[in-house]
Amino acid sequence: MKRGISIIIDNDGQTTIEAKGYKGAGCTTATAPLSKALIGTPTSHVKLPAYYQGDHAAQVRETE
Amino acid sequence: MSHVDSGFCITDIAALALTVKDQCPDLELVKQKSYRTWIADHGKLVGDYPLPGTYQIKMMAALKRQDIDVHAKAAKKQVELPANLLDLEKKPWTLEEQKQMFQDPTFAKAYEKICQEVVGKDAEYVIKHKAGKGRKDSYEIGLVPHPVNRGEFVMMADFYAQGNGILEATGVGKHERKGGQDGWGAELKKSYAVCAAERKIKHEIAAGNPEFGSYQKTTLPDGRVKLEVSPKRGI
Repeated sequence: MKRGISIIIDNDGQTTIEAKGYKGAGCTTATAPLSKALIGTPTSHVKLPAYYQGDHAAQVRETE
Repeated sequence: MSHVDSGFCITDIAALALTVKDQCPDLELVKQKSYRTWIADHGKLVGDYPLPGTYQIKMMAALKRQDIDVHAKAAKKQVELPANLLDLEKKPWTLEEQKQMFQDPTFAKAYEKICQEVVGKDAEYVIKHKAGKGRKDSYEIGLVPHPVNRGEFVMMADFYAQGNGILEATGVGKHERKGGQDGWGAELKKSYAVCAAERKIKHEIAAGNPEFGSYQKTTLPDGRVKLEVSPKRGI
């Protein structure tokens, strides 16, 4: 899977960050600068199942 | 009426200043301690809404500094406070719980004190009408330093009567009640979030972060904004 970070900003300013194509915790490292800058202290930080599958595509979603 | 809502956390005050300048022609962001709410004109909150979460934390912190066991006191009034009082920010006590708790004079006095001495007087920046714009009694939007997280600001405004007009100013976004939740300032919050995200992405690109090679910005049919970041080529 092609790597990349996607940020969706809702019409009320809520932000969702999703990392695709990363291995394991690489996704949280990749999205860290954005999640801190956009969300401050995340209220939820949901790791999707792929996160735990070391060599497979991993995703992380953070929503305010 | 008094509805001082704690809405949104700001982590990039410069992005907010740019957003206000770009899309709110009648408003300005200034460095200012006090922000006008119902309390400024009437001396107290009406009490028809619970104290915002940020102020619940400040109130409880003040009581804890006096060695008062707030959990035990609240429990006597059948209110269970979160073990970590910082959780009040995202899950504040309800109006019903507030009424129960405030039967205890310790809580009632602390509430009066925080309303008199803190609410509306603890901002670092304020968004307000420019001179000659808006109503004379227009409220102001306060950027209150987060009680714990340095560098973060909680956006506060009294949304009674659309904040006496400020929430109807171009580029802000009116107060609306949807699904039992109060919201306001959607336009401002959305544009701020886009601006803050783009600034951060550009910063990471300039800093040479290999995960930030380039990005594309798209407005989706429903108005949401999508930013897609690609890593540097060859990574």
